[in-house]
Amino acid sequence: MQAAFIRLLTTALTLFGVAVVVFVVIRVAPGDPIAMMLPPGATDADIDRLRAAYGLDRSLAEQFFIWIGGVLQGDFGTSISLRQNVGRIVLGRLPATLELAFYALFLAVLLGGALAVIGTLRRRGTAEGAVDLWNGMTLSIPDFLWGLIFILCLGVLWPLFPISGRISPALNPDYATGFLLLESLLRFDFRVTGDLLAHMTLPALALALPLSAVIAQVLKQSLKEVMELDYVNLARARGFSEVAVLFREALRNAALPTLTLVGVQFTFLIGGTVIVEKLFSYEGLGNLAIDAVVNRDLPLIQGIVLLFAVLFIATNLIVDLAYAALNPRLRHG
Amino acid sequence: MARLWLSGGWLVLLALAAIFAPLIAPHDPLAQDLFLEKLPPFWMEGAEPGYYLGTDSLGRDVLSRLIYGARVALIVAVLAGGSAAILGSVLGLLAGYLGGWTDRAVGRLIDIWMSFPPVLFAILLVAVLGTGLSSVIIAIAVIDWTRFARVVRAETMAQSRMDYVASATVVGRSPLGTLWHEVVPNVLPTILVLLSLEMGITVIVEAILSFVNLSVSSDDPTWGGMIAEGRTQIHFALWILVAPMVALFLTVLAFSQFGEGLKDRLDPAAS
Amino acid sequence: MTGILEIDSLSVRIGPRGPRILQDVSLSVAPGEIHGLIGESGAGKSMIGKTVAGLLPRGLNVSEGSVRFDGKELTALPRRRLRKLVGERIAIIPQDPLTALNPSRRIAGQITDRLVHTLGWDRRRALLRAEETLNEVSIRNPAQTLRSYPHELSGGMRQRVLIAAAFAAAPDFIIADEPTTALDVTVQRQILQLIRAMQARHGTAMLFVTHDMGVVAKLCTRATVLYAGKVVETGTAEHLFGPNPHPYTEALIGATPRYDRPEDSLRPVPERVIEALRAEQEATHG
Repeated sequence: MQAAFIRLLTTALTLFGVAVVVFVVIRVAPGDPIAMMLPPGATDADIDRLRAAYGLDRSLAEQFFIWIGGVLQGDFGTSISLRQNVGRIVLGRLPATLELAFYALFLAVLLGGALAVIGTLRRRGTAEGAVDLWNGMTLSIPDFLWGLIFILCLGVLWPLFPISGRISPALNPDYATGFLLLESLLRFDFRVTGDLLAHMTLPALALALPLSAVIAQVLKQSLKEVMELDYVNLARARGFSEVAVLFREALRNAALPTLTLVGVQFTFLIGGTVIVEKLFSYEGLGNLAIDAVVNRDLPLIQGIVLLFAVLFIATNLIVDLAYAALNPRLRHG
Repeated sequence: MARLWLSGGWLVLLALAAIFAPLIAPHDPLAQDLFLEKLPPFWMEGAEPGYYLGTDSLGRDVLSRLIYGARVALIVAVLAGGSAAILGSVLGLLAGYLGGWTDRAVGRLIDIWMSFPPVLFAILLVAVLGTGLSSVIIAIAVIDWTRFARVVRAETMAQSRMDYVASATVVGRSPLGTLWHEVVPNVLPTILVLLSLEMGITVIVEAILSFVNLSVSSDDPTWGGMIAEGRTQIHFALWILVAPMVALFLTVLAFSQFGEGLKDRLDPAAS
Repeated sequence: MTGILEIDSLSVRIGPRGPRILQDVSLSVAPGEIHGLIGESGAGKSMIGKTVAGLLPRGLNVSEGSVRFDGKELTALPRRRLRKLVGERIAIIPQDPLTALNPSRRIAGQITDRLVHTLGWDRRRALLRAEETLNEVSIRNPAQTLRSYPHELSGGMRQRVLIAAAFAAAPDFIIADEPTTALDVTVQRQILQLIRAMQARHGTAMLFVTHDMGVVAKLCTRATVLYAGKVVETGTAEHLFGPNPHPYTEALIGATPRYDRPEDSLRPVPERVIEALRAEQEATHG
């Protein structure tokens, strides 16, 4: 109980720290975003008026407390380039990125898990060698290049999947939330589900491949170790086949060390969405982040970075919880 | 062994192309010619002699742009990778050799740095520094020095405990002299391996940043910029995308394979 | 007399041409008997149990000889068939109760696995049987123990659970692989008594692997003495502890701690006995 409280407190402190850093770093940036907003003929009076409108004429400390006060009430300020409420823009894009990231995670776990299991069951054979070779190759190619390779091979040369956007414009479902994939499933609107998945598959694969290699490598290593332990041998002597032994006895215990690693790697994956979304013109947070940087839209950048920080911190928290849930030793004190 | 030669060979070829770009490139990489736009490469129907890899949508020669793009890629790789290596190695060496509060301070700094996801860091830095080649180089060095510091610090600690370092100190070398003459030569191979891997990362980061138009000005030929151009023309002129993609792919692979090969070569027991 | 387990000139090699870790081993376990298998660590005694159960580590193979269980040749069986046969009829009491239970599964499943999966019982009947057997091994609160995870039990409790798991399916043969080595002395005694009592009640033939002559004396009808992968001698307990044992056996008896003797009278196996034994083995095996 006390540990949980301390955990929450440090989480809050970390978030506050990130907010301060983000704010300070961005305010010391050279260049005047206001001047960039106005047409070339604008007078100094025009600039001052706009500056006051965005609160940029006050002292740094004042600006910070106005900003953080607003943030605590859910008001992240107004985007300079889009002239809309930052909170609304950012939260509007969040579902698309979350769905993409989790779909990618799903693919990575599926693929990495399958490779690890095959490599373990056929250890010391050619299959294990093939798995190792594939992992090595997958790891040395970053997600950006995977994305390009998929666009080229599965999007153009052999056009199995669409290569840009989140959904076909013709469908344009009128949903209540931004979680289109989830909502389409709940509404049994499988035409939309299929279209969404088709659009998401290539970017998700590009994000998933490097992670799947990490999972395959680490999980295979710990599976191989666990498969030699006494209780696994005992299960063999009770008449279980290798496959049954692996799934019933070994997998759960071998998955624990992998889990922490997947948590860290998942934050990298979320980071990877920034460029992959741009590559596939996928309307998510990452795509928005790049536009915001290109336009030097400071309030928007602040909002996005803060939201990403929340995502990273939440991921770490969830991994800790999942670890405790899977490990009976921790669950019972 | 073979991979060391293959990857090294590609990198040398690339370096030569980058250095002698003005002599090698068949055309001015910036020269536009709207009558010659989207010419296919030489093996395809409709190719124009002299434009070996075809032209892009503004009629610029793809091969020439590729060669000039190698300049940017390698400049960033050398400068950014080198700065990150120097910054990280110096801090790592000092922390590992001096120990005490220096070590604690550097260790803490590394922890804080690594808890910040690199992408966020990059967004923030580029937003602050503005776009351009020097921003890219600074951003990479500032973000990636921890890769060197972490490993060099551990290695230096291990080396400092060895007998020959102790005996050098007894013989009467100053601490910094011992560090330079006894520890650095033994840590250097590790730094070189890391540098090769880092340069591969650097090339990708530069390509990504120029792909989203945050690197050098958009007129200058970069592989990332060419990829961005090719991405928009993908259904009309595939080669515009494929050429820089292949160059990027081979270069990234070459750096990582060269690093791995170097590691095996320097420390055969570990492989 | 044919035993339930007949091992005849068994050799096990590392790799196809590698050194032999078991050489020309023969022994026979009669129905209802506890057969001791004794030797110092590294003598290869555990490997015999592993060979019978089909659990030899990768890279180790039976190169010569035969292992017959209830008349069936085990070395000729494909892995799948061997596993099924072992699962149905042979149980193991392992050495280290700390590593022999899966830390992430409750006790209930680990006892009923064999009943449900290999013998095809329905789950409820298997659970009843598990509870019954836990009672037999004097676990005070069987229902609660079934719901526990291994880390919630003491080392002695876990070994009781493992003994219950071995006897629950009423196997025809049990391999006890140094089941008391990892426990402390007072618990050791209780566990030995428990194993003897359970064996007497069920009449199960047992191969009892140990390095402790005292255990052999208390428990076993007959025993086989092993040194460096070869059999030194086989005989009844009376013979082994009688007036004319093999010098190595005698030395092993000397090296056995006894509760009624102070610690300092322990004698290691003398160098000359081992040298004589080596010479003898070389003479017989070439």
